Amino acid sequence: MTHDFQTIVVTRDIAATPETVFALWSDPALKEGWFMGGDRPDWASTEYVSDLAEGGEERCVFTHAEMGRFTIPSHVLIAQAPSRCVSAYRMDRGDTPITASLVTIAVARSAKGTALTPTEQIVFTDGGDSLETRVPGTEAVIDKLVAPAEA
Amino acid sequence: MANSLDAFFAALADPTRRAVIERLGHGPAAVGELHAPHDMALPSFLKHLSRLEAAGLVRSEKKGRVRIVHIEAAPFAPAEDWLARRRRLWEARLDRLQEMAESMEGDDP
Repeated sequence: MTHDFQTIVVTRDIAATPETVFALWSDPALKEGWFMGGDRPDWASTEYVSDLAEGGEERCVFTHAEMGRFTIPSHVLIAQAPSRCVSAYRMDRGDTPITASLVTIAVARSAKGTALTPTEQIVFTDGGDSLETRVPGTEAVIDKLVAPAEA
Repeated sequence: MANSLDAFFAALADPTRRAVIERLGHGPAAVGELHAPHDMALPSFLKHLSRLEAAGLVRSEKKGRVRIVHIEAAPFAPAEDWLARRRRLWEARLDRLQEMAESMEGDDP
């Protein structure tokens, strides 16, 4: 059994206060607007249940035209308004877990307003139907993902 | 697409096979050269090569008495795409979050 780790870091400098940005993460009605929306022709979102208080649970279901159903259960570990939110989530394709992640949202005041930095630490997990794991095993593939994340 | 991804990840689920793919990323190599760093009998190693070839990740050709193995780039495209999708999802979501945050406060945060 092998485990493969990846980290994705995304940053945004936003012309709004940390309180507003944090509310967009932690208020379920606000979060659904950006988290589930968007024009993604291959994807349909079929379920969104959200309690984003500390200890709360979130669950979303997406269906992709070719790849089938993806279910994403999430658990809020830490919610410290307006500066930090840490959650753990799993992504299942069909009934098979494919990744598990720790997501840390850092919200800091900046000259423009708010520096928002989500960091996702992902482990690609066992395929579920055998002892073999379905990891993206080559450095070349990993580099292509991590390089832009660290740019 | 799901089936080809399954085959791709299953073929790469082994450290020996991943090492072979990594080596072939630097250029084609003879079977003997690929086998040399691995502490296993040649027949066992050849089984790994067969697995990679069956999954379409490598192809081999005989040149005289030597068999040369090449990487096949095409199978890597969907997996790379699948991984990159996770990042693109973040980018798209944050674009929408930023738009919402800035419209909630106007131009004067």
